[in-house]
Amino acid sequence: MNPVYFARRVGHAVLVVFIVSLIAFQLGEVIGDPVTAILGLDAPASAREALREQMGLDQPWPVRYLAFIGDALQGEFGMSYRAQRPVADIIVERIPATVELAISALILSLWIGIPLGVVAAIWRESCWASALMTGSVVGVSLPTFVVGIMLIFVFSVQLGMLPSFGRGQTVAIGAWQTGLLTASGLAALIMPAISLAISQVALVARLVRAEMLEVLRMDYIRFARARGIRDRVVHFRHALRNTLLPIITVSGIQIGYLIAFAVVVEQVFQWPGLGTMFLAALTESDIPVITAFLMLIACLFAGINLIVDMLYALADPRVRLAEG
Amino acid sequence: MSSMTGMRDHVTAMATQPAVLGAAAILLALVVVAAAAPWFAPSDPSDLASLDLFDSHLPPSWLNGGDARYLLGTDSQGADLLSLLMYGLRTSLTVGLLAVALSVTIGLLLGLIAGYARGWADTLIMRAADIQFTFPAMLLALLIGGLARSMLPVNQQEEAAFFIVVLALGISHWPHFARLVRAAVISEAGKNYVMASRLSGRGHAGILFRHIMPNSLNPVFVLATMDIAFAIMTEATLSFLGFGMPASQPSLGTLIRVGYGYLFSGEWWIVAFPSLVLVTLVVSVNVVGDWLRDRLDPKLR
Amino acid sequence: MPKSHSLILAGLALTTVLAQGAFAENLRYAGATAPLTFDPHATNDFVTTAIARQTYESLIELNAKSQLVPGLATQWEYIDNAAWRLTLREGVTFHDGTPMTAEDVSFSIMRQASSPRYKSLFGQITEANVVDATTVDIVTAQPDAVMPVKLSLLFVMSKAWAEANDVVEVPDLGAASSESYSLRHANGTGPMKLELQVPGERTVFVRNDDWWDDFTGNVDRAEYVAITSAPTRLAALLSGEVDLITDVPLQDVVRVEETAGFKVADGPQRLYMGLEMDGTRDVALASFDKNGQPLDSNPFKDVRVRRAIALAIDNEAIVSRVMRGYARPISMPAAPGFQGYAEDLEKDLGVDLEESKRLLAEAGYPDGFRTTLNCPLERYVNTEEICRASASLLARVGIEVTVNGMVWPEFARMLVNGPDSSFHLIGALGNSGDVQDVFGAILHTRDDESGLGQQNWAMWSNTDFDAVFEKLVSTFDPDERAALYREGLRIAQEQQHAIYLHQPFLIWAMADKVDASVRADSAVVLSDVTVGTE
Repeated sequence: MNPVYFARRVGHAVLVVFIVSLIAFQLGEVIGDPVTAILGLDAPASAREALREQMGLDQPWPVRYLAFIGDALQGEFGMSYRAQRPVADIIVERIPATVELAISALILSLWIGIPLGVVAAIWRESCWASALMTGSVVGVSLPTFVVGIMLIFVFSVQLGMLPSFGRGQTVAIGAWQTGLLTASGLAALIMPAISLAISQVALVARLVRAEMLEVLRMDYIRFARARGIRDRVVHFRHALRNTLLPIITVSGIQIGYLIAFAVVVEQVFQWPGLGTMFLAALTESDIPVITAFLMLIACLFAGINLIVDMLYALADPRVRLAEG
Repeated sequence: MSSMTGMRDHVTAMATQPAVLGAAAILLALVVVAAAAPWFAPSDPSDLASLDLFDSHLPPSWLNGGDARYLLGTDSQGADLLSLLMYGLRTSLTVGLLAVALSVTIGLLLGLIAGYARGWADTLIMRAADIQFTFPAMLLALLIGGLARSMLPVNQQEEAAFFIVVLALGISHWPHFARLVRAAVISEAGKNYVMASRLSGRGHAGILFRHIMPNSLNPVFVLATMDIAFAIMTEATLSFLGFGMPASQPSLGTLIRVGYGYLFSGEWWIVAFPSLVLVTLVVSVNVVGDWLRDRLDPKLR
Repeated sequence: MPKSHSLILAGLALTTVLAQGAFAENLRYAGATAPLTFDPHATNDFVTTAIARQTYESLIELNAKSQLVPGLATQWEYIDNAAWRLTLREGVTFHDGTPMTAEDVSFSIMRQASSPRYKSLFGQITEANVVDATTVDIVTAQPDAVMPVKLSLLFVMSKAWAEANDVVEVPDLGAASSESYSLRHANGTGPMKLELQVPGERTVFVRNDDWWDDFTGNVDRAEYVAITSAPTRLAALLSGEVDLITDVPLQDVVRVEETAGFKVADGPQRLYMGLEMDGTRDVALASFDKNGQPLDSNPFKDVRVRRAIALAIDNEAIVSRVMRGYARPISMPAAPGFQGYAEDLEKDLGVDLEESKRLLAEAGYPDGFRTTLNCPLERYVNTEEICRASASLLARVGIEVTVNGMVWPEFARMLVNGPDSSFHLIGALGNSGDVQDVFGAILHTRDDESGLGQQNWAMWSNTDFDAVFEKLVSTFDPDERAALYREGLRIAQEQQHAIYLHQPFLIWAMADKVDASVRADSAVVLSDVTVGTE
């Protein structure tokens, strides 16, 4: 791979993280007053001043920003004001919940979305295909939180079938607390994963259909047909396989979006992941937690984009040329 | 772009697809209701003096305990839910339209500049767009909203909430338009008629706005339609999380946030009706947008 | 390997649970927030304190009626020279089996007094002297008549344990970079031992069979979980996942009562809600005339306007509709459960729109005016609704109110770094729950030097009132004190220092098999809870 291109992409990713760190820091600065958040309303002014000084909040912001970046580079995000624990510990505890939710939603969306897309492409003229396409429009139009609320109303409040909150029982595998190995954990996962997956199912189906149609028009498919290879083989061995690369790429980006929208789903279902942690930190001006979360997300997105770009460059030499 | 005959063509084509026709009719109805809310709504929820606390928590009029004056029931303040919905719809639509208008304006300008000037301006603008693309629009809007809010004095945040939301959504979406416009400009700029007018000594602005822009508008128009649905959804999500419109000027998302607290207590109407309206609105915008895209911009199909 | 390991562990855990289930009365309960830490001196969060109280005990306790009763101290008396003498209970042991000594008490007093979070309550303590094995003297910078009330918030920790685990100093937020031992470990004297604390998730207590006092309940093991969202917390109760929940949303009370097998208990919280009005500025903030021009005056400073607002706001309606009856209308800056509250001074102003308009006109605002009501969106029950209801009630006399809702950190910052508000909703309790503290912190003229009026966010100022307070502080005779409390409350009422709205009730819901009574400080006292067998 072209080293200049690679270096540029990495630089790009670093820039993203840098800009987000600035925004995160600034946001932390203005969203509340940490000293008030810690001490409450009834502390005397002298105690406030002392704590402000002790925490270094009386320093000008560039000084604090540099200190913050210096610590962050060493993986040190400070102590949560509220929990009085290292932020890194809290985040490590919260990651499994969010990752399991996002991955479940991803699998669900691919597992349902790909067959639907294939069907819609192969029988493109049938009424099923147009019904699917209309359905997919409805799918992308359902706000995640509305789906979540509806599911809770029907399956928890009315039918009492599924738990409305939390992760159920979790089991530790090393440092990873998983909810996938217990019945209550799986039951708790169902509704959040569906809420998160629904709009993605629609997107995947539409993408697969479009790619599939494209491929089906290609010459080699026509030749394959002309050679008398059965439709099923043509569709699945030749056509679908060639649509997989863009799907894999999109899944990569999707993970990012799933994690972003997990913030909403976690809020609705009280899912103990990074999203609820972030929103709670926002309402408590727990600055170290807010900044650490945003930095983590920025790194994640920058990383995913970097990988996707690399894959593209490997797969398609024109990208390298276009980038010059 | 669309002469009268063109428009008539679209309408005839629409008539052949009942789903699209239905969606367009519903959308039109919703827009009319939103626009006419101040005249049609049974009451004005912002007129606080008209609220009566003793009318609070009433169910829809057809249910036991309902009151004929309040067709869809009342909220915790005794405000008429139907009126709240009409005004909420108005707020949601206005925010969505203005946000998209802002994205289009920013994206169009920057895209034109990038595509026409090329060079360092192009690099700078498209890098910025790339960078913004790496971050999900919803989180970005949350951040921009938070930043904008915090820069205002405490006492003015309530009044400014509307503009903050529009700004946050608008800024978080411009790169889509900039990319689209830039690509269109680059392809148009190479065409003969542009070359010709350039040779004939027209100024850059003249060429840009008289020739290139009109010819890049179609895809922008399609994308903008789709984006309205997205903006409305994002606004609703922000408001649901408590970072969007405040309860004193509620959008549909705000109404859902407030109503969510009553979901388990049997006062389901406070959350159900706003959710229904929101979904209907977004679906109809999307169906119409989808159809427009198929018609106007086959490339995107 | 790790997988099979954990499965075995899970199996073991399961058998333990089953084994305990066979003989133990287990209580599972849930509240809105998790205890932040088990270091009782490192937090002033009242939920955390209410939970930590099961493990750490205070020197003086409050009973169910908010009266002071002996705790780890059996007697307390003022001995002049700004000193209180405490006689300690004998035969008390910590959970690790070591006996509690006067050294431990002295250590705990000074440790808590050094905590930045307790400066307003205990910052005046200069010494805690061990006189003999069962006597400790607390010396303060100024004589302090309400020290016993404050001591109901002073928790005793083992000195040797603190030294052994490197938590002699209260964990320091600025410098610390790792979790302190006392965050999830505890060694107190209370009825429950801390078995497990998973921050943000759950807390497990087991009964301390060596407790010095008698258990009136039968709970052997208790598990607390935090479920932030109120609707889901309720769902957890109704589906049997927990036996008791605190902070039941008002709108859900009926549903619980109508569900067979569940009941609701309520009791007054030690807190009162009120609308505070700017008593100092010459020009009110964010206030306008009816044409939208900024006002060049401060209507709130005029007692007639304050009275007019009080006459327009129907706190009975707010209590019955917004609070659904789960609050008690009040008419003074105190409520039952506050030491010094005077019930016979309660008087209902009633609603009188005509009189209200007349007073407004007399004060020079015949058409009313526009203003902004700053409103915290969380922290207290139904705040947003209370603010919006107040706004619509005031609209009837021509005062147009914009409700400015703010998340708590923003709201708190606005008050603490200003106070930049001319009109706001606030819940108040004074630091200790003694009316003297309400007077000193909230009603006294703001004075940065003496620290008085620290929480006087309204910047209300009345010299007669301040004089009453100065006298109260130096008076130790109970009868004289009672008269001074009344005098202060009367001035506050007469001058309409604030619009007093209501005292909210705490609401718990539980399965029928559980018996627990609601306490004003929202603590679920596990030693008093009974779990039946259905």
